[in-house]
Amino acid sequence: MKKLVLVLVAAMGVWAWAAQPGRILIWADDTRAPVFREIGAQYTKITGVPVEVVEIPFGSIRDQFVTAAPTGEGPDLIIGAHDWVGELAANGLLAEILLPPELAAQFDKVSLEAFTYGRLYGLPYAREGVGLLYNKKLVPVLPKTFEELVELARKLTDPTVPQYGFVVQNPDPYHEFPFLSALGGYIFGYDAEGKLNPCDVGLDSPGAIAGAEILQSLFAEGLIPAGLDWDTWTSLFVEGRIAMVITGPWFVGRAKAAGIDIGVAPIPPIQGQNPKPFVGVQGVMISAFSPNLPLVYDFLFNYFATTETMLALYAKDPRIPAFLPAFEEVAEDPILRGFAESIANGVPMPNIPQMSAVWGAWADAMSLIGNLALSPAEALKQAADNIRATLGCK
Amino acid sequence: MRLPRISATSTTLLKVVGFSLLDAVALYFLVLLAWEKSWLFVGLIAAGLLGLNVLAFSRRLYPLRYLAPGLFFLVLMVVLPLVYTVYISFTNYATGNILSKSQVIEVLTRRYYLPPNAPTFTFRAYGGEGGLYALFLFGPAGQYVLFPDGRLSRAEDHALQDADNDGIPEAIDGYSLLSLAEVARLSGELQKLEVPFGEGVLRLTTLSTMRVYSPQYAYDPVRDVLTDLRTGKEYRPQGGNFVAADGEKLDPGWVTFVGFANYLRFLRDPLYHGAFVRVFTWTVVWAVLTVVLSFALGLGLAILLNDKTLRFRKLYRSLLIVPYAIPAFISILIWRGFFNTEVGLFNRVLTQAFGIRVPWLTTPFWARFSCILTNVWLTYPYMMLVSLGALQAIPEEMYEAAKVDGATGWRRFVHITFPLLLISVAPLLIGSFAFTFNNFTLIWLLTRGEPVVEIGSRAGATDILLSYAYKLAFMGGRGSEYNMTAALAVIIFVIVALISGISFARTKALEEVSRGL
Repeated sequence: MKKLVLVLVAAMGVWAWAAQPGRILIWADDTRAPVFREIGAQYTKITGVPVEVVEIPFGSIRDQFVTAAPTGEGPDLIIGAHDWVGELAANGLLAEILLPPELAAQFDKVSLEAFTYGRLYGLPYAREGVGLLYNKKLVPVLPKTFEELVELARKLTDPTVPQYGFVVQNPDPYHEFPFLSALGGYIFGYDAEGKLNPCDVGLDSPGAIAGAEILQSLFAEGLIPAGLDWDTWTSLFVEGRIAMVITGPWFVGRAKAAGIDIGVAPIPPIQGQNPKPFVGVQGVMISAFSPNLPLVYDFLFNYFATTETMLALYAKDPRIPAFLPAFEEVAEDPILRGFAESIANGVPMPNIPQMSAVWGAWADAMSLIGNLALSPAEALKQAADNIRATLGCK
Repeated sequence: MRLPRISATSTTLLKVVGFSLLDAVALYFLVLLAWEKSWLFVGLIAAGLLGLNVLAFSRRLYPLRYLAPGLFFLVLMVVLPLVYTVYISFTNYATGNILSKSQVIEVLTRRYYLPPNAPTFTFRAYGGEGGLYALFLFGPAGQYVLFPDGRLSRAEDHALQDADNDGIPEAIDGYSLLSLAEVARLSGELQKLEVPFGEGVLRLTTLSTMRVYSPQYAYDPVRDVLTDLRTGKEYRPQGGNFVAADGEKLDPGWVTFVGFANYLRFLRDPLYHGAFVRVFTWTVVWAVLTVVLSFALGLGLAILLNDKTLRFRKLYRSLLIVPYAIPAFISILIWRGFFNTEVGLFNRVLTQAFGIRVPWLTTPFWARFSCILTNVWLTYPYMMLVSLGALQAIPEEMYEAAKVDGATGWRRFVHITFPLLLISVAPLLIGSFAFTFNNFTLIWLLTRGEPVVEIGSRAGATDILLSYAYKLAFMGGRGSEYNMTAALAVIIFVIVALISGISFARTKALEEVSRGL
């Protein structure tokens, strides 16, 4: 009887995707789904609890979860990024993870912090961020400082070829943030309790402005073309027309496939200070409406947070493991190590939902800075004021 | 082969049998769904079934049979979303307020904190024929036996049988150790267990551990007040959230009716309406210019192609329809590539030939120019096709009469071709205007509304009302503001409805003019 109803319900669509007692349902994208199917099968063998994985494109997991979870049609677990946590937790959709201390010690601290929004709402498995990726043929000796890097870029750049020494995707706040952060700029400051304070907007802090001025001088000199989007620079890079670029692990596969011998290093210090890229963290979040919390915690603590699982995930999705025993196993890879060193200087991208008010205004400012339409001081001041007004901080 | 003739009575018989089968199957599912308490689906299916039967057997409703499918989809795809959008625009549905109040209370009262020195126990389950007997809890805080009814007793009071001395008994009081799979099967029952212990309650954490938690909030349904058990602070419901006397607001909140608040906020807060006039102006300019230019181009080409002395007419016609045949999704992205300032086709050609670089998509003027250029290219084949059809419908005699009267080619166009053409084409132009007015696809794929006009403004230089509304949804102060977007969508709907209504009224006047010809 029950089965028949299930079949009928399945025919009606999404209901079959809903969490049910005694079964763990996971939403994951196409790269992660196979791995979770594998560890799920092992978990089923040991406990008899079926684990089902539904494949949903990464870009739609969060929105579908927001729609489905309150109506009881969501999954038990979703695989996603740490900057979803603020919005999902503010909506009351995530269950807290009370991580046993001995397990917490095995995770990278910054990654756990990234999944914290007042409480811990996700178990991280991989972290990522941008570094300096370079074409070894064009850059035999890596510059030690940013000033040396600019010197080298001047020698290598000739827009008429076109050939560029050093570029950064723009206008793109995410990739341009290391410039702003190097000399002390930040997005949101912290309050006395160590929580992000949305009314302390640091986009127009002296450090951010100084960093943006250095960046603007690169545009003004014609070293970096303004309005350089992903499609343009990646096609130039794989043709060997770009020597150095600020990018993340997601570009490695494409560069290697094009047969380019690449290296990765932290972005060299600007005026002696390390640029701090955003750190993004991938992990698992639990639905507050899961009827299976003990099963889900059991699965996460005892079968997910293990070196084997983390290495299996790494094999499918080569991002820096956030689980330290697994990280040590793979730390030999020079490209991975380059990115790991780069983000060791980094700061977690703010996960509070107020970030939505930041991106637009900030991107506008970076666009006008890149076009040389406004001075960085003026552009960042306007952006920060707009963000403060949107967040009602005056 | 001739089909055997079926008499009217046997058709009726066939219908009756068919519908009996359909009804029987549907009733069976109705019972199943009622069993599962899915009342919404029960209601929907029952109503649909009833409707189908009435339609099929009522003679009076016979004409409705042909309209019903269309009406059904009209309600499903047009009316329902419209009603829902209007509804959302009167609520506070946005990040932080998407649950119902009872769900919010459930989420908040299930929040726990760990009291200081909260003990953690590892456990094993024991049972026999009758199912679960008890749990054996052990850890630094001692050893206990916990019964499924919540009784907790000291381990010393029970017969523990631990032959291998590993601290985990193989049997308690004669009941044997259960496997992990059996514990997993029992987890649904075990997770309901809450046993007072020290300062909190002992609850299941995983399939092998239990921990002492303290609930953070308690809800009093009589006073409708939520209390923080650690601080004693009281929170009362106010505008969709629990709010303390000092103004502290708890997340999450719930969806509630807010009347015209969203519309008022739109009118009062410059962050929302600041760009409205600029965006509205550009939307109108964009829609008018696209329609006028593409119609002019399409009509011109149609008149050329209509000239019977032109050779290779069919070939030209086929070639000119190509932009219409390529899916817009693909061609818009190709145009975006052409417009690229660094490596795009246009700038490569222009630099080679004249040594100039046009900032196609990066300055407001050129970005708007590019949008209109692309859209004219995409739209003119449609205009050409409808004009070709309309031209052929104009009677030859009129031209002959005009020739006799000595009218030149231009005068013939102005006084005969154009007015007669407009009668059939004008409604299509209005439709095309309304479509372009809301052509989100082109704007989003070509420019995403960029470039920037003003920092932090919710709209760029090429944002039309619809893309502006979309951006509003996701660029709010805190995540998504569906309520504000819905309010703007309602406003846009009213505007488009007004413009179309007035235009159609005008077309009627046009038809009257033509009657005078």
